Amino acid sequence: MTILILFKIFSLTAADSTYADSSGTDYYEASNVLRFADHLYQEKDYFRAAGEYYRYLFSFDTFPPNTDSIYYRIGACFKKGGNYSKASDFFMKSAQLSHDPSFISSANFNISKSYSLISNYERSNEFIGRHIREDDDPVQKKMRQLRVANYLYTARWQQAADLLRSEIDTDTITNLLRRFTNEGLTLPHKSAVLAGVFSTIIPGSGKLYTNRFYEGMQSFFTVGIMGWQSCDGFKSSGISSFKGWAFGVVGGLFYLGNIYGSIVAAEIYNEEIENKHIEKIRVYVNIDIDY
Amino acid sequence: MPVILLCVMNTVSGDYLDDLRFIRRTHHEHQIYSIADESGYTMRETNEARLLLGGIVRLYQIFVSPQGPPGCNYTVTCSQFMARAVRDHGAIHGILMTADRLDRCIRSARRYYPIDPVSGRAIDHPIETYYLGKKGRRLSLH
Repeated sequence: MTILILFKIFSLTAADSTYADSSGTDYYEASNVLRFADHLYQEKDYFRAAGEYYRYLFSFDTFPPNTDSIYYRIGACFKKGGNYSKASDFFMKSAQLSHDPSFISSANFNISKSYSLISNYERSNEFIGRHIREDDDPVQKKMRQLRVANYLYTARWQQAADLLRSEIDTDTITNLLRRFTNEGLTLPHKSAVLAGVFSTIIPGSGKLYTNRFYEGMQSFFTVGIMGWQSCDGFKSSGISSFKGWAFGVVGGLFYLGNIYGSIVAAEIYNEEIENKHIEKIRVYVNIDIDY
Repeated sequence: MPVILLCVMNTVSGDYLDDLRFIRRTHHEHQIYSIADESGYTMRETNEARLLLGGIVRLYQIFVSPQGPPGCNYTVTCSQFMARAVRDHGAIHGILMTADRLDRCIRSARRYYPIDPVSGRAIDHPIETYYLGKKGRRLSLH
């Protein structure tokens, strides 16, 4: 048995060394590691590619001159893989190491895009504000578009409109952003005050105003029936009627609750249509603004 | 006496038991203050009205609700809604929010909400959504 195991180990070792010898390739050589990492990236195996880029960096005693580019690629791997937080860290490192303005510019764009992708729109816009330049560089143009998109994603239509007013570009995405901004500014909002007033005058009408027909009817009948029963009680037994007070108090609470709910329903309605509009913007714009 | 009983019942049951454990763990003096830990848990100052209303809801949940089949149209049931609304937003807001919720709790109004495929009930927005004094947006943007 022991002999059999030893034979097996020997044969495996021999096979391994034979293979290494025959191919003549050092797979752990830095350039081959880099080539393999690029291959994995091409194959969309992003996280393994990031690991191989790391391995490439650590195959040198000191960091190689192209470290900024490797960090950028690792950031791109994490971004494509969906780990935007790590992606922004690596883009940041690459921007800090690089001296090439165009490279820094595209790293900065990717940092702000990563912040935007993790829904940190404030930080994304703050970062863009610190690094944006008003020139015709395509990356700078993308950054300006991303800044507008960030405002749109947070339903700040007016700020987006203010930015677009000074934008002279008329390319497809800018025009799309203009269209969505104008649509956002003219969304059919419902007034919370009006909903409250409607419900005060006729219970349930505030809910009807906010397109909640069945809830409105329920409020109307609940308050109406309770009010009627309360009046009935007071009519038959006078001011000391238990029925009158019981239905009066409960009906009163439902009446107030209906006003309260109508105001909230109007605000929810407004946010729901804003969210629908934002979803539409995401579908059209999110993929296009990239570099 | 019934009021004290309700308060005690409410104190030793459900969410309030967790609250008390939390207080004992964090505050050795057993004081009831506004406490916020890193998880975002907020212990608000409580009072008799909140305890009383919470107790009434608890009595309903223990003795009245099990008498019939489950009838609420929402996944966070109306009684749970009231208990949490009163606990988090006080008696006045809690009662008004519950009155609105009871108005909404009809079968035909389920069309305005997504339906839970498991229970078949409507999934309501989080309770904070219906609080009138809420700052900022009511619905999440994502």
